[in-house]
Amino acid sequence: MEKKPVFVRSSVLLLLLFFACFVVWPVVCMFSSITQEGAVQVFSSASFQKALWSSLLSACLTSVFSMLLAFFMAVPVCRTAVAGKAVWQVLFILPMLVPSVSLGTGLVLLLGTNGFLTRLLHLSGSIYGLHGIVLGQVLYTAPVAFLLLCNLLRYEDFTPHEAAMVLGIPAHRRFTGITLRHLWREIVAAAFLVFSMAVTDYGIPLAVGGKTKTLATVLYASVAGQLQFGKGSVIGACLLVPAILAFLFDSERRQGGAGTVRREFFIPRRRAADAISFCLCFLLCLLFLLPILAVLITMLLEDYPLHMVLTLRHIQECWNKQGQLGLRNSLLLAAGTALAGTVTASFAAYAAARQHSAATRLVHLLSTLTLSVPGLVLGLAYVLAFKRSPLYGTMGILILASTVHFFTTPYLLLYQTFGKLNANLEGTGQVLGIPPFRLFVDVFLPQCGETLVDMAAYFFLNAMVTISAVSFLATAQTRPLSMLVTQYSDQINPEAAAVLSFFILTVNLLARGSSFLLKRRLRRVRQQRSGIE
Amino acid sequence: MGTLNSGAKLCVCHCSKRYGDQQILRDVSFTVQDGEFLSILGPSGCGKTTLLRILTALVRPDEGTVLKDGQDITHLPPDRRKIGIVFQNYALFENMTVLKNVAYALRFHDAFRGKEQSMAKEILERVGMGDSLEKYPGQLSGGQQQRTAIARTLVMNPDIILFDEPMAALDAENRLALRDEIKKLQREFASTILYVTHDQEEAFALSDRIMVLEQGRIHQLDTPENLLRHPADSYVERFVGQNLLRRLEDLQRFAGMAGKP
Repeated sequence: MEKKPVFVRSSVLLLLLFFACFVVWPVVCMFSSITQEGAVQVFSSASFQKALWSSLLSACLTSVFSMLLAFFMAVPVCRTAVAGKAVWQVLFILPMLVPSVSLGTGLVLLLGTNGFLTRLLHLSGSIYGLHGIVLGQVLYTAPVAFLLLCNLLRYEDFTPHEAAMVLGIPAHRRFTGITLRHLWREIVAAAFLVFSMAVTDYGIPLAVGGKTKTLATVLYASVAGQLQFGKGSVIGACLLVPAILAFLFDSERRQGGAGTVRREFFIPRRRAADAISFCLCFLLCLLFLLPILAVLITMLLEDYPLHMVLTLRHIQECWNKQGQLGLRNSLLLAAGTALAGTVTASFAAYAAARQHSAATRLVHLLSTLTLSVPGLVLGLAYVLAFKRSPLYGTMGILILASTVHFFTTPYLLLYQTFGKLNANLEGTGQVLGIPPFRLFVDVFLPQCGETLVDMAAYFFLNAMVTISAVSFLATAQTRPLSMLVTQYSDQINPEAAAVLSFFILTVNLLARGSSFLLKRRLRRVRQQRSGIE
Repeated sequence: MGTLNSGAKLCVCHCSKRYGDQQILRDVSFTVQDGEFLSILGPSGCGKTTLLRILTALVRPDEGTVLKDGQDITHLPPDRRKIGIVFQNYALFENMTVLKNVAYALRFHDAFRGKEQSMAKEILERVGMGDSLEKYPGQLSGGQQQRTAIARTLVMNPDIILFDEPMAALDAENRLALRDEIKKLQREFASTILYVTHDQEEAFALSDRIMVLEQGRIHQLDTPENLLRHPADSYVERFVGQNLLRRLEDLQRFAGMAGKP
């Protein structure tokens, strides 16, 4: 037993090689392209200091507002008997199905100088600037924060709450005294993640920032526009800081370990609370859906606001021009990432969760660490590391970058699922003479069907909307839809950006729907087999 | 080696195992006769599970040898020892039917290939699972799961079967019924059984001989009767005696209740 099966040893070796080549080496390349005078020059420039300040300020504000908003989304869904729970859950995460830059475009279409709402409500003032960035990034990050909070609230134990209810402690006191007390670390970790998302996103500031630049937009501009890799690397190093802090905080938290015994919450019907929750959900949904709606309407108008006639001209033009190739590239990228990512993460999760050794612990560390490298930084690092390799400029490198960028979350999903399976399965396999690889394929993977679907969907959806890791790597031939949206948004061509955003949304809705159906099927089979009808 | 009983089915000689600072087994030696039912009794953490894992080659001993039928099998891999094991929670393949659970491993052995279905069916009939072939483990009762796990072990035709606390997952009522069944199976298949438990009553009811293991050391290996009459040291006396005392009290209380007019 002490000697691991051949397939585990070889997959661990390959995984370590993979991480060394596609995570460690590129990041090292990026750092080595930083010179001292370059760094001094960047740090001392007024524009950098201003961008740093706007980044920090906007990300802090985003974290606070996003968490607050997510709280008002998660509590009705998880703790009240509000009507239409499933619908709200789907609508709340709709913004995650389009690139951040599409949300930014939507905001401009709503609240820009000639925006729908600006004209309708005769608003004065401008959306462009720091407040626009914060608003956009709240829309962009709140759905993620909502999902995280939902997970926390759903897995909270009801027992202490029940005890408190018997003692007559009111709901808000139970929330501060029990929920916050137990989960504050998790909530802070979620806020960290939101902060990190906000700092490293350049799509929103590009669309609604106006003259306000953030670190991410400066990095994007200096690499994509001016090819100043030295300057980009310095800023990239800065962007690594919050993510690494978040990782350290998170790994400290994980060591705490959590109890597994929990009781489901009992949720009574309370007419007033449920009605208020319904209104709240409705308003919040409106907030999230309006920008997307604005995008869809703009796409169908001849020339807003001068010529308000419904037309399919934009869709046709876009399709003929770049839409076709973009869609093909996007589908290739998303499907390739889903496949490569799920397979790689499966091997990594099996090694780390089921075969304990120093090498597999290293695999686990590297797998969780990849979350800390922001996509934009990863993209830049890939440019510097692989510029002269045959990989550069191919679809392969886009798939690689996306696989690495989105690796951690699906990996952890499967890691946890594998961890829950019977500890003696490998021993049984060995005594019965079942080859370890066959045991992995025939026994382990089939028991994780639902998790595998979740993983593939996560890779697929994210690869469809990503504008970060792929931004410096895509060529005219390999450019996916999400990057075309960015390009059109930058060229102030909202109709084209809208059409392409619509393509992405449609594909993602289809993908999401089929993954939902597939999972439901798998769940039914599992329930039948465990005797639950 | 001269002292070893050459007619023994299984012989463990001077086995030791440590994990880091923890000495799990200290110089453990014993023999098991063909067809014997031997229980390994001890508190949790005494090294009994590690001992089973050494016998199945899932763990390699730091020192010592394991002989089966007089042959050194210390370096033989798990699947070539012809020693089967039924794990605590059975480790059934949840995604396979009962029949597939039993038949699946056979295809990897040249000797059994082509006969998987018929062999699995036959053994499942014999353990009384004949009418649940197409069920999944999740649809079975604890006892049925155990029988499936036993069938999966028996189908490989092992010389020795190890049980690692097989009753731990069952309720008290089931335990009694399954205890008899295990005994019946042993007679039917004429197997040699090593049975790990921390339940003294179980050990006394089932075993030809009992090994009392504590902190990786064998305190005594003897028949149930000798364990009671001639405990080797104060630990065995306390460990077994307390149990006896408790049962005696129960008996008295019961007798007292029954005796009242």
